[in-house]
Amino acid sequence: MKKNNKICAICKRKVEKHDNFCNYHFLALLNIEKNFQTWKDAYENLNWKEYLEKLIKNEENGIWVQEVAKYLITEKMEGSNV
Amino acid sequence: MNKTLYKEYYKDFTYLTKKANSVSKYTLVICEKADAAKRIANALGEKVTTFNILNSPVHRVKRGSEEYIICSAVGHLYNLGTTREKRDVFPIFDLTWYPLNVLEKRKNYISNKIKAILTLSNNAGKFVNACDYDVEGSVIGHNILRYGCKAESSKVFRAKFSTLTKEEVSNAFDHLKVGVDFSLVRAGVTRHIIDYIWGINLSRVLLSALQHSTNNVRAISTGRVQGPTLKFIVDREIEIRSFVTKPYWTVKAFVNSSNGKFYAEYLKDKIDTQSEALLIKEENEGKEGVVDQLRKMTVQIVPPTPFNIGDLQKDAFRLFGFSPSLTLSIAERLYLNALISYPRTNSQKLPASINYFKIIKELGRQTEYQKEAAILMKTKLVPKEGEKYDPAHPSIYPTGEIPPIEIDGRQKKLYDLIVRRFFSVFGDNAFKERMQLSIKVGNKYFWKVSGGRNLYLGWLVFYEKYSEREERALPPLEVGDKVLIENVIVNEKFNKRPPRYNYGSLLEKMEEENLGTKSTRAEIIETLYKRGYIMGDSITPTNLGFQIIQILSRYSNKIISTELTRDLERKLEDIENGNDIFNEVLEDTFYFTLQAINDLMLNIEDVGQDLEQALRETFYEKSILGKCPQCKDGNLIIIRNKNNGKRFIGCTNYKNGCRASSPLPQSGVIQNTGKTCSTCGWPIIIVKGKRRPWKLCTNIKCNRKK
Repeated sequence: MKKNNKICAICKRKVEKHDNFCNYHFLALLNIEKNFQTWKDAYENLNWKEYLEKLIKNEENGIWVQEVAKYLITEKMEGSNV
Repeated sequence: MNKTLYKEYYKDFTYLTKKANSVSKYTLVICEKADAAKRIANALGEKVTTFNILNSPVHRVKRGSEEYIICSAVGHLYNLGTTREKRDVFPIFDLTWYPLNVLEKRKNYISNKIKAILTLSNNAGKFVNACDYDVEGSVIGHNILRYGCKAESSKVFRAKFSTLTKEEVSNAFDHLKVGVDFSLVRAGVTRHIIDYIWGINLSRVLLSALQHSTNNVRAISTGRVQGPTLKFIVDREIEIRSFVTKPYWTVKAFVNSSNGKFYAEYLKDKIDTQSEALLIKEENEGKEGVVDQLRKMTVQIVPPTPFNIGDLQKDAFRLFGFSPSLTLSIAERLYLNALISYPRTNSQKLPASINYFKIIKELGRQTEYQKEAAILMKTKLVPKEGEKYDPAHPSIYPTGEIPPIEIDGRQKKLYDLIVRRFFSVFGDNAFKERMQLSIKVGNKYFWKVSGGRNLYLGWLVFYEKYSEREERALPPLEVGDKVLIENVIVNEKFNKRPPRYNYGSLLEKMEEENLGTKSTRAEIIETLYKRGYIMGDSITPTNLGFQIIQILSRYSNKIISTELTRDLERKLEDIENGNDIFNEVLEDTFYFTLQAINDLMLNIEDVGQDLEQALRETFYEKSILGKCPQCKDGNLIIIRNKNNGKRFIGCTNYKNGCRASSPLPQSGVIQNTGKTCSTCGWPIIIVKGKRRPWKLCTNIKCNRKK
């Protein structure tokens, strides 16, 4: 198995499938991206930052989703560019 | 041995020695528990004498011309162990059965039990295995007869009964089965061997990996069913933690009619966009509507199936919050009191041979069931049965015996549930009328009001207390009536994330996936708690639990594969049903274990490092007591002073200037309650020591303490 010494920007676990995130936070990121369109349609004209802010405030969202959303806001990262 | 004990032992021993010299030999009956032994003795004859051998009660009773000596075990007296003494060796395949006291020092009392049974066996002419009639009971009895009594198989008999009532026990002894029940014993022994080999080898590999990485070693384990069960919990947690909710809107209206006011719901349950929801409000509020349709439908609700252990555990958790293991232990007490049939059963069948009428009549002697019994005794008794079948026992049913006054509240609750369920399976189908009223506003908008009423209660008469069906009456309106949509309420909602497993739902999942057996499932969940892999009533994996699954799936995915375990369960069932695949199953297990050890050993360094990190995180996770009320940023955690080893509570934000700290009690186990003090906001803990556990606010300067 190839050794990878990079660690997750959020939880310090080893990264495997993504450059910045461990598998768990990467999964959360994928879910965030996948659901953006649904939220955009639901609220009309919702932008990426507003979407992330809504995700952080809503307690139904998983903890990894909230952590990734916070990270994306702080790092000013767009979904597909992360 | 003190003087009195010695005298007692000597007296009993004299009796047995005399017996040994006499011509007639007795039948030695082996039971699983002391209570069962007493009941069986009382069922076999009128005059029972009880004496003690090495502190073990033994009963003597005459039945016709035959004399019976009835003794009991305390569950398993023998267990598998390895012949190798070193604890860090693997793979281990050389096993043998050892007396439990040899394997576990705290079980020293087992030694006396075995000696007592050995003494009794010296003069036995016949042996009866009267342990519970299932796989485990058969193994318990078989091992005692084989290793303790060294009984010849031609002298061994098996008693089969499902209740401890006098009638059934007596009948079982009239029709003893000759020889050992090999299918059950073989299935049990195979399960023990597989579980032992799987558990000890994989746990030792994990431990060895941990030792490779750190000196700070603790017990760490995995098992054949334990691994896949933990995986369910971890998979669900991953789903929850990576869950993104979706918004939707619901719309309801407050409607005014000449026959009163009521709420109606918009026909479409979920509205996907905010704009559509607001448009509905705008175009309906203050408008007149007309009752457009009144639909009525009769629905039939069939009675439930009789309880097997899984269904009983689920209902007891839903209704009373009893954990599955608690339900099982209460049910076993009820069984030992001859109030219910054998509870460790998978069956949903009620054979006519148990005599329904007689049981119902007997139950009718109790005031609380008089009415129900009277109703049923007038009907033709045909039970509604489920599909599950257990060759060893029928489903769980009450025996009809009157409970003694001393049974406690929890036993009473469970007993009542079992009795009412038993009644309800003989009940008729229930009939309900479901109604839906539709209101039209203009040509575009439709609203609905739903309700229902009972037409015929049927089986619900017996089980209403425990069923979840509540009906709402409809407003008295007719088609064509006019109404006013007074107010429209729009609610923004979000999809709920998947729920965590609780005891009941986890058991259900294990049953669905055919993981473990009816008797082992509850125990496996308890082990996951004890190992620190899961926590809370709403079951959450700890960091350690997470890491164990991550490591196993990364390096040896097969270990936690549900399919493999399920396949093995099927094979064990085959053995139980008489299929001779004992050797094949063991060979597969040996091969698989070697493969898994190899996979893990190839990555021993990584496995060790991952485990070490998980342990560190779990330790940290456990030490967090709550948010710091002073800086409102850090966490209050339990810290040990490096100089004097004393523990205290301090803030993780110390480096940034937060000086929140307070001493903690130095002895006892500290348990976090998750609650905070209403006066100062500091965490409240429970300290469990030698004395009674006590609750306290962790802030020494709390105003309440002044």
